[in-house]
Amino acid sequence: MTKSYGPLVTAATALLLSGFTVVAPLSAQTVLRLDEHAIGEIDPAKATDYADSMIFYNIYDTLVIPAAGGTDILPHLAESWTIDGQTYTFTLRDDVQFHSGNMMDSEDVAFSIERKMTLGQGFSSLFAGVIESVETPDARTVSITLTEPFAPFLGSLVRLAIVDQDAVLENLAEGDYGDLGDYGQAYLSSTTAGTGAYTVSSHNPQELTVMEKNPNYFLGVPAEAPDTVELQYAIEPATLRALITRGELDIGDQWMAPEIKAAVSAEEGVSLGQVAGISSFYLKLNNQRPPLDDVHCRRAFAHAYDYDAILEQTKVTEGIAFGRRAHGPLPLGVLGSDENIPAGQFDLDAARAELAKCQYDPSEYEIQLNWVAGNPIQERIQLMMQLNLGEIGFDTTITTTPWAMFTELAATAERTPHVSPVNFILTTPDPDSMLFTMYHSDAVGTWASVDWVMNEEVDAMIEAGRTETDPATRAAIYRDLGHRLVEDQVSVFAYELVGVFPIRDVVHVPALQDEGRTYAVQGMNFMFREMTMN
Amino acid sequence: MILGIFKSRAWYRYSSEPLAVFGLGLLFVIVFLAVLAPVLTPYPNHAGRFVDFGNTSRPPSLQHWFGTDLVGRDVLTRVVYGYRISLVIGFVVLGLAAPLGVTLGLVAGYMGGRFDTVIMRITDVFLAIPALVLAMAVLGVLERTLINGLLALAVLWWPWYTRMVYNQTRALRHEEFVVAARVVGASHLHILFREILPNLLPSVLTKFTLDLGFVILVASALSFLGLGVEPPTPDLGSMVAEGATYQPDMWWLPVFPGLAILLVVLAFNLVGDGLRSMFGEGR
Amino acid sequence: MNLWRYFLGRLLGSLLVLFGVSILIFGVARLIPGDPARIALGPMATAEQVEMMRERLRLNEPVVVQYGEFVRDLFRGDLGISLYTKRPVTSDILSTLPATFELVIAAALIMTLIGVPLGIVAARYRNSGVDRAANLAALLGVVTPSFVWAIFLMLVFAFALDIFPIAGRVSRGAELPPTVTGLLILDSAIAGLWPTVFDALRHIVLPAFALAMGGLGTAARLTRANMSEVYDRQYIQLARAFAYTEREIAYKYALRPAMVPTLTILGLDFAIMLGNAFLVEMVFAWPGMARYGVEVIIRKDLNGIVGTVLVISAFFLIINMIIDIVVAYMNPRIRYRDQ
Repeated sequence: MTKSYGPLVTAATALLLSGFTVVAPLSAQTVLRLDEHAIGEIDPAKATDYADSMIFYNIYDTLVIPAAGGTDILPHLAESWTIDGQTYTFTLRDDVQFHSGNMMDSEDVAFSIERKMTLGQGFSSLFAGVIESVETPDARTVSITLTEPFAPFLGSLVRLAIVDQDAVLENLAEGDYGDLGDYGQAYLSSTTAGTGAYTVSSHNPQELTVMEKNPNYFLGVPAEAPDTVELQYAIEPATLRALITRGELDIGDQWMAPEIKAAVSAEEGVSLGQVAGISSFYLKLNNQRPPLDDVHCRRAFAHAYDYDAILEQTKVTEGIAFGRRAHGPLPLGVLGSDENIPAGQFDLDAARAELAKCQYDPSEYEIQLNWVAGNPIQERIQLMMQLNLGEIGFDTTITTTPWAMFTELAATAERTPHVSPVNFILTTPDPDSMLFTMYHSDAVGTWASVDWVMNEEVDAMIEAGRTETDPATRAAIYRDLGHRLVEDQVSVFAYELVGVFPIRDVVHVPALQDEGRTYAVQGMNFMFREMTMN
Repeated sequence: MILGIFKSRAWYRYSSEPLAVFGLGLLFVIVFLAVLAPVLTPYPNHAGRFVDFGNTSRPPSLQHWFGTDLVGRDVLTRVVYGYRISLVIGFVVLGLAAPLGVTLGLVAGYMGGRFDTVIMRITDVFLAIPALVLAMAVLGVLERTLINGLLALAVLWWPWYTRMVYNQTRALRHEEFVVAARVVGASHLHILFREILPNLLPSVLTKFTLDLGFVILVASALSFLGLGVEPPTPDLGSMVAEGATYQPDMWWLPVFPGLAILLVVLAFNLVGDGLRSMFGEGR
Repeated sequence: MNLWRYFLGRLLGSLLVLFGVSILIFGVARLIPGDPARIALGPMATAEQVEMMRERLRLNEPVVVQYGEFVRDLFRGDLGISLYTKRPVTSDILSTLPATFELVIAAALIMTLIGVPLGIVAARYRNSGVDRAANLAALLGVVTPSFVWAIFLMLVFAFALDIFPIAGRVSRGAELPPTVTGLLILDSAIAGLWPTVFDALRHIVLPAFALAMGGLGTAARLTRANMSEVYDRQYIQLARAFAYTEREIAYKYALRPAMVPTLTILGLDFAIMLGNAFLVEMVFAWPGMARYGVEVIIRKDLNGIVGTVLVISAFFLIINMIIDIVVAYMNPRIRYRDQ
């Protein structure tokens, strides 16, 4: 006997092909979906990357917060503070509840500092050797004494999350810290113990972090803000493009190739948001590795970079580009930036003239041009550099390095490539976080300092900027430093990086879409409580 | 002299399979293109250090049959040059892997005992890891250079030859001609390479030809995962991977290099099948 | 019983091979140039922190000692901490493995349910147009890398025709079932969430086909070759003489013997698919082991690499063992030959 499955198969196929629509959840919950490149680390003592920071400012709070559109430091968990020499005394708000329901007090602040410094990861470097002691005279008062005057201190506090001491201590796992076990690392890498406007409801660092509105947030979260936020990681560019087009993703990331951003922004209901003035893009030259330990060779490289052609490449649409002409190391608008610092000039004849003054013979060196995998614009720039450096006599090889490997190469001057493209986004509102991290001898060995400047005079200027407390004097110091670094041509100051994000109409993001609302800190522009869903 | 091949009995058997003949023709075209790339391609300089930001991402046209890529290079030229790397990878990898694998298989199969146990257990271990994953792990450890890529592929390919030759050698070692050679006092070396090996050559040659295609395929898969040669060297797998990120707007970027991989693997496959029929193993 | 002895022998052999794999991959992972501790700690770490991490990873001890500790932990199901995600490798793998497994099973089903019948048809109508077309289709399946299939299928069926979703395992907003097996389609069916079942099916079609194409071709060609051989045998001719229908001959007499070698090769193909799943998952953003596997390799995450390779190899060995046993069951001669 023969059974016929024909009709059944046809029906099933029809169902499959008909684009079986999934019924949306019944409640009018709003969901915001966005993506970022790298995996997200949610332990606030370890968070450093862009995705980490995006989560950080939503699930934790800091004592102070920068003003939108500026660099002033405003009260946040601390309602006020006094500065007495090297002692900062903070008065905490008394109405702040952790996600656990515990009330925040000064013990939590002391614990958070202790934990961050003991684990010694993430942005603990901002405070390394800076904090002398932490006192908690009463539940609402914390006084922090510094080892020496340190002007960027208040700004650095935007990287100190206040963690729920009791929640962490109740959830210690086995570890290397004696009574403190693992210091709550396992706990805080999968959940949140903070005060933030959102809580983490699930976290898979390879795939997705889901956050939910915190109904007890001390500042309140507006009803229009998204109820649920899904932050997805490492989506393939073609997929990303399709997801945005089809309305399955609301905000794209800034690392998408310009062609793809242009394609999605041409779609109905998609526009581009921008963050300018807080980041820059450099072709970092390894100042310790011949032939680039000679300033003339470095200048030859700077003249071989085609500034205009690359700026043209950064155009996404008419009027929107992710690059702007750079004037020295600091983005314009940051304390100490100076538009009188000359922009670089592409000029192969000038490059040859500089090369003639350089002590090295280009034919004796093979230049390593690196780019970080997943950043297509960097590959294009290095292909252009290869061509132009070839014109003036340098033989080059291009290497592709995944980000994690690049940070490892950066540990020693010997292994650091001759030329490394690097994006740097302000990690605190203070220019010191950029200049110290990139150019001070004590900070070498990280991806940010692959220029290996190692210059005592530069170090002295950076230190002067740190210990000087008068803003005007600091700005002057940083301006001088900017001129100095350009004169020495420590890097190719390629362009100021503008974060360009495709955004669907379903959400409005003031920090990206309105004038003067940008926060000068990486990731902070994604505070979901400020966003409104339509 | 060369034309004599076409009159031979072997050619007669080979040419009875139309697909095999087609494969051979295709292979000739590919090798011809690859060898004469500097003369035949429209923009040979686009295979090397070249950028033209004024001519990027152009769809296929009369000037650029396969379009241009994101820095303005001619995709057709780069595909043809990509064949050069692919062919080199295929021959070098198997040039390393096949002799090593064959020798080990011969020794294990013929000598037996401890040789058998040690060699075949190690072979089993290598064969227990999916080829692509093993190559990824080895390549992940090594620096990203062409040489290392070749080594990684060779490391994963020899065990296949060892297992095949081992099985056949074991079947042959009690054959009369082997026993006879042993009786007249021939050395092990002589028996292995003069008596046994010639009997295995047809199957080794067939496998070698088929594998040329598959090595190219796996190499392109590794490039696709970002473990290939460095830019600006044209590499088919990397071209597909990079192009895939610009789907669907710039479809020509992944499609043409993808088709190119397909064709070269197909050519080797058809020729390998033809050889198998020619050697009388097929039906 | 004979089959039991055979099974135990295969089990022991597989464990031995797995042991060898662990030594091999552990050794390979220790050859990594550069400092894994530095890579793990990321950009801001100080020298002391790196040293602490090296201690914790036991990198300062001799490799043999490291391996001993590794094996001891392995028996407790502990593959160490991933330097990439900073979470236990075991939980990382467990969270992604079911998705990969689901995809590979779907591909294996497609491969068998389409490939074998295709081979049967080709064998029955040998040298006809159907045979040649099937042969060509099979050939294209074999010679095209699965990532190229993935991209072609995506361009045509997802982008151009827009009948299948582009990526992922399930649509946004779909109601997700409680985890029972980890296989989303099965779990949704168990929970009775039919919309989710259909949605997930729609998502799996393209990646599963892309993954299956290579094996599908092999399956068809093998079935055809082996059945052709069987067809030439006398008893089939005899059956024909007794006027059995061609259909009965095909299924009753030709298929079963022909399936033995085919099954063996299908086992191998299954293993190849485990590897190729990496490629297809990357294209379709399938939330399986691929991204993890590629990332740990690229980031030189010691524990991650060792864990990924070991788990995949273990799967491979288990599948092969099952196939061997099925084959031995179907064809008792093999049992004796291998002993």
